[in-house]
Amino acid sequence: MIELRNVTKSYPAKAGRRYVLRDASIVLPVDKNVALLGPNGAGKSTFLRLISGAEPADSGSIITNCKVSWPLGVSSGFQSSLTGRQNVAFVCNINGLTNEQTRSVVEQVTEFAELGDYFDMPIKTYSSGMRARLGFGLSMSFKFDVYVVDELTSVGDATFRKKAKFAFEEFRQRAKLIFASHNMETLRETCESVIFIRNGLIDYYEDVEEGIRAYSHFISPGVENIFDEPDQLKTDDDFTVFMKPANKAVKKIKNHKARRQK
Amino acid sequence: MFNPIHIPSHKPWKTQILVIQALLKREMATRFGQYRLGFIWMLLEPIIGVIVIGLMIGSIAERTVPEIPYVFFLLNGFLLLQMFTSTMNMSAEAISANKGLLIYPAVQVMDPLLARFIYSLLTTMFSFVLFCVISIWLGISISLENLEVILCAYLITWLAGCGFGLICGIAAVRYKESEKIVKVIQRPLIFVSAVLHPTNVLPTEARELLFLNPLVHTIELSRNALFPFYRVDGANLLYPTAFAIVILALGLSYFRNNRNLLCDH
Repeated sequence: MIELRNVTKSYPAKAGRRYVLRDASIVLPVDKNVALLGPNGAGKSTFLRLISGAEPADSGSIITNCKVSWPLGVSSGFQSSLTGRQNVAFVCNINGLTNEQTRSVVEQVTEFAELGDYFDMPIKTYSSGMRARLGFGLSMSFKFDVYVVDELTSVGDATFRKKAKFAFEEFRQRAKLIFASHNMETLRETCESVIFIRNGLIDYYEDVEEGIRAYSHFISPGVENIFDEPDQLKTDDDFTVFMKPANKAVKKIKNHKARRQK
Repeated sequence: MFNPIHIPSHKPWKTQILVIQALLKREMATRFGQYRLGFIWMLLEPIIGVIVIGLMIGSIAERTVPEIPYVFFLLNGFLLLQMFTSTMNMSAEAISANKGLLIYPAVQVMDPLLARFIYSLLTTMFSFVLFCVISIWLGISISLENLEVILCAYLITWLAGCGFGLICGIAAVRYKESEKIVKVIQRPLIFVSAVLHPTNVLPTEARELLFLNPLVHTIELSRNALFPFYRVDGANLLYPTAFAIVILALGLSYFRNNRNLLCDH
């Protein structure tokens, strides 16, 4: 269970203070995969950082009784001047692992990430796909009850996509996910409930469709549900859909707006 | 394929020690790891700087301190000043350079700052020991009888540096310009800290003015303790201690007021 009690989180922006959460209280289950929905800039990433303990709230408290991973996304916490191996060792060190455990983690990451010689080169020489592979491998070597995943819509080559799919499956088997994405097909497939965040408000929906409807209603009011149509895009490999950016939804909104203007 | 490892839970202070250790290790690796004999460079860095200055102005300036070989006179003051300025400079970049690491819950915002403070204390201490060994080896009479005064002088200078470091580190996050301003302000510090000459050779008015700088007190007192024949008037430890405490308190409260802002990415 992850509980937020009267949590307020804001950050200063050019045009005054922006609130991610304003006196929000909510209980999130950790026995279900949860999708995180919200328009761009609503603070999805900040919310994920809050619940994984990477960032403190302005006020209120966040109570967890399970191990929550650090947010896994495109910008993982690596130090660009150190090598992949040194970075892995660093994360082991700060968590106080024994030498034997550290060796085991390094082995697992090496095996998964398949970086070859790059493993002993500075992170700044990595491509974003390689960096993501290293990030996946690293967080999979640790045991968490909940994995926090922040928009994996980054583009990669076929190898990367295979890896990412594997990682995703592994997460799903092993633990539960809290997962931010703009891709409704994936969310429908993986998640059993939805949190919807916007303008400092947060809502929890037991039912995925209900959550998606609320989100749809928020971004284009007056229309039934822009994400409603059964998807024609599905291929035999579901994961290619998952990795595609959410162009389709965006297109739909654009079309709709164009129609309205006429 | 995966045999996931349970992250053991530690007490908060234990976690902090682990994080600072890891950060220190990395500091060494990034600063000197790419050079051969990197560790030696860490110690020699201040000494080389001093030798260059000593060669340039030594022949003229050494007339002001006939009791001590000028390079050694210079070295002690230079070490203290460098500890002060490097603590300040390093922490100005500490927060932005380590922002990515904050995604790990074990790492707190203060940790990169603390690691750099400790790093600069350690390197200065190593350099000081090296300095003593070299002087004894060359047969220069230094006295370690008043070691506590020397340690106090170094520690107070370090604490004042930490206080300024905190302020600079946070200011660098809030205002982009502050990093540049800090560097400009530091330039004349070597001339107003009595690093190049003793205070005794100055006229009284100038000396009184110079003693407003707390660094002058610690530098002069450490020389007084280190070189038995070196005389100094008007320096005391109380003033720089009070100064360090005030600056440290200001730095900590500045940190406390801005700690949420520092985590934002």
